[in-house]
Amino acid sequence: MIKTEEAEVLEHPAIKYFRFGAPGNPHIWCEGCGIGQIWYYTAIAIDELGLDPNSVVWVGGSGCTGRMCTYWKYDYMHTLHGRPLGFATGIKLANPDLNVICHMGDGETSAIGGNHLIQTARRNANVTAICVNNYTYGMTGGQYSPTTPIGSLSATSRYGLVEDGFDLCELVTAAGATYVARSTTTNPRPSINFIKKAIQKKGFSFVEIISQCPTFYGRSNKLGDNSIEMMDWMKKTYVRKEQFDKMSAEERQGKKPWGEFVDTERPEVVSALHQLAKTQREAYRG
Amino acid sequence: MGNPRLLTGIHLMQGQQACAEGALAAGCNLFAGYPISPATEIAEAMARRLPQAGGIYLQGADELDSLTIVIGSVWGGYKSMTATSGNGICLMQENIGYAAMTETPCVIVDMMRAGPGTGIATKSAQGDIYQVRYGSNGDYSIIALAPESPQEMFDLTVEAFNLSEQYRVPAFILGDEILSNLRERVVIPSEVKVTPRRKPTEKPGEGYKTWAVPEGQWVPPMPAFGEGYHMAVSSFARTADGAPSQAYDVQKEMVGRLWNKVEANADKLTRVEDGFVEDAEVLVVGFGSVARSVKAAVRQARANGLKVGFSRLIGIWPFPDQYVARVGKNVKKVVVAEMNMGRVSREVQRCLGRDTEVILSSKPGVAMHTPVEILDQIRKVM
Amino acid sequence: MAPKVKTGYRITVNHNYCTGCGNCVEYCPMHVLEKDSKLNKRGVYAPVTVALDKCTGCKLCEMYCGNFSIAVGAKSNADEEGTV
Repeated sequence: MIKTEEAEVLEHPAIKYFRFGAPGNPHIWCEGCGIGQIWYYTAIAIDELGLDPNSVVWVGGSGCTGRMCTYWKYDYMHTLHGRPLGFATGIKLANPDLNVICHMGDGETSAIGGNHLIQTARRNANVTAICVNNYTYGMTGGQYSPTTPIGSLSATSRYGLVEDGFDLCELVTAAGATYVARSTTTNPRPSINFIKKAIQKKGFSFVEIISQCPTFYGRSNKLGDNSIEMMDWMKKTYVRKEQFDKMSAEERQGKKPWGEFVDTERPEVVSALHQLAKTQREAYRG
Repeated sequence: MGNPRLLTGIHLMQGQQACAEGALAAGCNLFAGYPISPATEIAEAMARRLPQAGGIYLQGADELDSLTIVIGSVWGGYKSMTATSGNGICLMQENIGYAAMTETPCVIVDMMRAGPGTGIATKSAQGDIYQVRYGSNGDYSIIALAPESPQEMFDLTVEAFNLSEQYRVPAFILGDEILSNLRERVVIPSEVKVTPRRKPTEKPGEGYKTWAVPEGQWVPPMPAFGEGYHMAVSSFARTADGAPSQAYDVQKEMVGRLWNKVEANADKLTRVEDGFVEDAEVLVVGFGSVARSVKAAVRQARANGLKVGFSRLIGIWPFPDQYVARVGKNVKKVVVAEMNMGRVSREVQRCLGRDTEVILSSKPGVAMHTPVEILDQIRKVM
Repeated sequence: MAPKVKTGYRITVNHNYCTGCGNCVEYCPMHVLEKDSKLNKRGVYAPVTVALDKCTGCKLCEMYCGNFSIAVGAKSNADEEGTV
């Protein structure tokens, strides 16, 4: 048996993009939380695409996922709960050469941020939205969100939730997003690939990544109080889209699809507004 | 072919239009807003004119969306503006706090209308005086200017852009519905002084502290995203390098600076127009459209031999404490005419203490004071 | 004499960051890792390699690590003499 506690410790590849000085060791997320994994997927996607990190702005809102941007070494904007997409649209309009990536939790995306979500999708603004969906409001103690499945237990649904949750990918597709994909923290490589495509896509791209919150959602709903148990549940529940499409209604019970749902083209607002400005400026005759 | 940003010349212009022209002259790159009476025509003017100047108009989904887009675009390097009325300001409050906390220069035009609530969309009032200053949570400061004419809608919008850059605060234009629709002579000069965004002197790279303030100054320089300065922008309480902090010392220093950068410079930011104050026994204070009736009434009163003076406040926030204390020191009574149930009158009372009687002449919306009404009030108090 | 060549991989753990969640142990397809039987100085059961020679350098452990503690690198010549 070879011990790995060596004098010289290799640096995890995320570290070169990591901002130290913000609270935590190295960050504040719980043991077994999936957010750290998704942080790394984003960093590795940027790395594999060969982007200049100075051209990448991370935008976040509130909560555990909202904090992701505060660990990005380069430019970041930690905004208001639910509103990263509004700020992101503004940043992109002012400098279309920037790559603007928003990380938003499920509540951020679909509760307080619902209108920003559908408007940004409708406008097809060229920003990337990564939704970390762990079915909970983690930072405030595990309350339910508009994606939490019916029947779930949470800090504010002690008798079982009587509302059902959004299918975010369907919502955002209906609103007009041109790249829509879902992955899970049990599928790192597809997650990274979807994020890469999302960043490169010229239009509004939405990647939902199902993540584990063992501290709240997992424990409350007996899905595991550690990441491995919750990820087991995730593997059983989330089925590749191609497989899911072939399943009967009975087989689909308790299962959800993951994969790429939409990859299409539509007019994009940021480039359209800049084109309009160019045309009108040239046409101006005083 | 002329400069699309500066329509040099003499115009007959509506107040809202003049505001839009002022924004263009000041270098505004983006307007995001939501239709709301009586500010809708500012959005319409910007939608038509900004693209002619190579700028962007984006209609927000609501007032919150609009201000998030404005703030985001400023960090991308733009100068940006929005315009609304009192109920829209209500919706924007969290974003106003965000802009104040992140020291984001931006201009927010509030064309006040009768309230409370939905009120009367197409009738005037002056009820948002405290809302623009104290409406968001916690301690911060802003600048607010109150024009009295379409000419001032132009001039003060330019001034608002410049002051917001200098102090890195949201700057408000406190207009009202009367001014929205008033058409008057507006002179647009051939040149307008524009304050550029102040960039850091040091080269980009790691180690730049986003919120570090150079010695002897009040605000940090402001690079844009993408320039290589690793900006840490957040509305969390933070240390100079942007790391969130829960320490008392950090909070005290940060809040102190956010508050004092404007409040401690209140004298420099005092803007007033006054007349006949040297030997006045009674002082009449007004702002915005109402000030026009105040001036007419005071001139008439003087013609009738009454020792009365007027003071028109142009800069409402920071409140001109020292000016009011000075000019009100030797008068026996102060009449404050405003279209609300008492706002500026309370501030004036605060500045003068209990020795001076401050009388509120209030009309809480719809109808503005006429010169005759103010003259009657003056006669009553003398 | 056969030239020395790089062979295999080495895996290190940053014990300041590791929370002992066990993701890396669970999801390594080659079962290279196991949880240590002893607590580390931070008080968690950190991963240790039990079959380093099976490591293919796929770096799934890095991708499953939410705390940026485990890292895979090529074994340097100084570590091992050998031929391929």
